[in-house]
Amino acid sequence: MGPDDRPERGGPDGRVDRVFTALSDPTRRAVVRLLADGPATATELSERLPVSRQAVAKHLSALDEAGLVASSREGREVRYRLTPGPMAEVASWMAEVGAEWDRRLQALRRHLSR
Amino acid sequence: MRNSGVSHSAAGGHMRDDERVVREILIPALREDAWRAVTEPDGVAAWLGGDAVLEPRPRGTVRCRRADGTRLEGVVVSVTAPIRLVLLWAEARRGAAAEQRDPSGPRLAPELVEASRVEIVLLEDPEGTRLTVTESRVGAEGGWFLPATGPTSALAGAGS
Repeated sequence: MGPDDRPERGGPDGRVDRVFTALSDPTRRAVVRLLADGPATATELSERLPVSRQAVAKHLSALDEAGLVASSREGREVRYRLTPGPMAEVASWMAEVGAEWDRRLQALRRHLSR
Repeated sequence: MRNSGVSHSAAGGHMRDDERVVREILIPALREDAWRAVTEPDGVAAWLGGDAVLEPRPRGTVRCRRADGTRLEGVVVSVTAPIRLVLLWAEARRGAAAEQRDPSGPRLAPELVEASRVEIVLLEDPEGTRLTVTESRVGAEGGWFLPATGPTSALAGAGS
């Protein structure tokens, strides 16, 4: 990342940086993708991901701290949803696409270095 | 590798034009060699994946998988060898699900899915070739939706 990117990514509260840090983890990006389809509990999410409910809960906590998800209690379960606005979905798309291009371009470089 | 283009506002509206990812890489190779690696089957298999397809001609097919196995399908929009390649692609997630349900049925569901525009530019550099990739999200606001039936000729004139 070049220093010229910082004014765009920082901001007074560093929220954008927190968002991208939270989304640097592929499981968290998967959680955001699932929540884009609608609110869900940690149990429901864990059924659709190759990780335990406890692991999903930890990831949800990190997403919550970054302001990407909000929760509400329903009986014994806590239901999570993406926070209003485009931030979570857009940032997740950017993190996902960026990671893909990092991988592809490293592979291209390796191919040309043979 | 340099990242940039992270230019949307957390508080602002849904600015499609700003939803883009930029990656730049310096490759220690001549531009013609880098272009061949980007566009010819050997290189395509290396950087886009073993079962990937990229036909480097307008309206050519693009097909590959992401690291998580989801499929991307699209169409080449324009080719300016050895400098610039533009394509449109979209995730074929719904199509894959439809295929699993009925392998003999339509390969992709009829819904519309969001597409991305990918521009790959190769510039000569004293140390080799500077390759820049820009992937931009295009949706209803941009007027570009990729029919989930796969690449169509209707797309090929867009975004050149």
